[in-house]
Amino acid sequence: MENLRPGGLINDSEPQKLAAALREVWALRQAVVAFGFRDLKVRYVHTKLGWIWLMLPLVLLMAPIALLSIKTEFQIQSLHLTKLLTILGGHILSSGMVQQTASIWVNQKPFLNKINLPVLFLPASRLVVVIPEWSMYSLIALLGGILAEGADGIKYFYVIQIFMLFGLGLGLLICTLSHRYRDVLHALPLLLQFQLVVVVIQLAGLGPSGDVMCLLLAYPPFFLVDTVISDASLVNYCIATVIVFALFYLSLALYSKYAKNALERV
Amino acid sequence: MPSSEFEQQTLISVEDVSKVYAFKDGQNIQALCNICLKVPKGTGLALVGPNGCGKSTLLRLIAGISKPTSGRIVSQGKVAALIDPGAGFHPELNGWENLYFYGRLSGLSDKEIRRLSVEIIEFSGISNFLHRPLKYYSHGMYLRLAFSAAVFMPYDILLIDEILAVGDLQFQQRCIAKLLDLKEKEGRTFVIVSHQTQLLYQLCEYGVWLEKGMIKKTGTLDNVLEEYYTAQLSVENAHYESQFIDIQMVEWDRKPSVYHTGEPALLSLKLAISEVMENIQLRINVFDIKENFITHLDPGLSGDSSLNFKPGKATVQVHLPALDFFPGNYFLRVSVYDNRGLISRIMRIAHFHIINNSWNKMVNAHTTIRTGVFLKHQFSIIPLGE
Repeated sequence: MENLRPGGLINDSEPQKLAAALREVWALRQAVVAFGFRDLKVRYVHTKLGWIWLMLPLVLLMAPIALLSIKTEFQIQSLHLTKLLTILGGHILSSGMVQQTASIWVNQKPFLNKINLPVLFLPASRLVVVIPEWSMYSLIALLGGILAEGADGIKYFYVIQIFMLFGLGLGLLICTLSHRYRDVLHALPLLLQFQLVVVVIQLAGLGPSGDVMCLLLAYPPFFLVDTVISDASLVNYCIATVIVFALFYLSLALYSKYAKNALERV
Repeated sequence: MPSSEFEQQTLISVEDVSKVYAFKDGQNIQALCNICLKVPKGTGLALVGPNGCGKSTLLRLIAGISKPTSGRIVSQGKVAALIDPGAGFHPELNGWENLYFYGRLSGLSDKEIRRLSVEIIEFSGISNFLHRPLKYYSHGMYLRLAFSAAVFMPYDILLIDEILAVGDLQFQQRCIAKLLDLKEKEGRTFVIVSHQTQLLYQLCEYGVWLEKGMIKKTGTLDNVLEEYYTAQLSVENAHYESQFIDIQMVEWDRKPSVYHTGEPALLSLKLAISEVMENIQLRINVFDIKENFITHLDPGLSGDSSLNFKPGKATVQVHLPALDFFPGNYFLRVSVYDNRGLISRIMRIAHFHIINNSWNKMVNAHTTIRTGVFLKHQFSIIPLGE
């Protein structure tokens, strides 16, 4: 290994290893936080409702479901509020995270092409941008869970974190694919809408049975929703964790590998 | 092979670097091919060459923004790329907030940012606007802030891509003075891409001429620019061509066109004319290699203000009884005008070199590095009475 002076740089043709990418972004962590807070600060500039927008998606999503619950005899009535809020909050959080991360290369290309940043700088800063929602939904799930089920209720807090990790992983994967297949960015809203519809159907207990359901449950958010609704055992939570972590690791490694030169193709 | 002392001081080492851009349609473009370079600490390196020769690609590789296809670049120090001033600035945030963020991005602590921001604000000269969001700044003010922020950051290597024409003339001069100060006092290293020759002379000692992704020449800036511009003459045609008159050749009576100061010279212009042309004005401007205007040759200055031509070929000769220029490299720009305006022009033609051996003995070498018109003069000493 060559002796480099502080701040020195070796730029070669080798794709970046994940460990090196993580070290780089850790070294610039204060800038990551500053960048994230900068975007957070300008997020609700010139909006009349300001920070109320944080709560609105959840409230607006709850309204039709509550209506559905009152007017019908579906399963929703039997779910306690914490489960409902955890599932919907988790969905909103993971969808938001996917949208924040998936378009990084396309939206931030002019910035990334003019300044040398660690490859994981922008994904890490997106984590800072979603801190308000992340904290809010985590708190709702934690307090609601403890009130409803005591110490066992902590699992709802955990579900929110898994949803969050899934959102980040899926976003990074879509971003990595977008440099070769821009179609994935156009397909993303469809995927998120489909996800919402299936989640609502699952909540209403109207989901298909048999092979179709098995196929749907291979998709982590549906599996997580099913796990929460059915009060499944710890094994199910472990399976969900392993699947989401595997997806996240794969996405992170692919993103780090392709990040530098992919920008030339975006 | 560089000496060991030189090796120790090398700040940027470009080792056999190639860069290929692979397009989605399967086409590959070789932007750089086997580039090898070493840039010592505290020097200024100018990258020159025509558009698309790979200058900016090389800069981006040195900055670490993109990866080479083969080879490697070792930078022994913090690199700042001034490829686009204000990269990372947000229009909704005010000047202070953007400065703070920029400092953070450069790895500075809060205390360092506070200390530097005082200097940056003073240098940028826009302190009255700092509390306003950037979107209300004029383009010039935005560039002032961005450029000031960039030059005050504690980098070892500054990469500059065609962006030194910032703000008004006074601010430009301040920027250049600041960069020179950083280079001399703090030993900062610059790699500059610019087509502004004068600027390159102010900031760089060495040059690299890139052509089609390969190094054509490296050396002192004088040598590199001289060869580069000489080569340009053979490939640059008339920039502004008329269908009625064509400047076919402009040449000096001596080949190579090297003269001593004060020697006579004859300049010949061969023209091809397709119809009768009257009241034609011919203007020849002389520039030095830094593109400074030196003087002007015009038939109007010697009496006949305009020329008349018949269809066919014609030769215009300009007799210069004495080439009274200081030593240096010069070239011409020939323009033809009719009553309505410019009808034909040739840029950077008839390159000539002025030498004077006797001046080499002078202690003060200004006359060997400063071009210009040599005024005939004589010094005399009048002894005072005892």
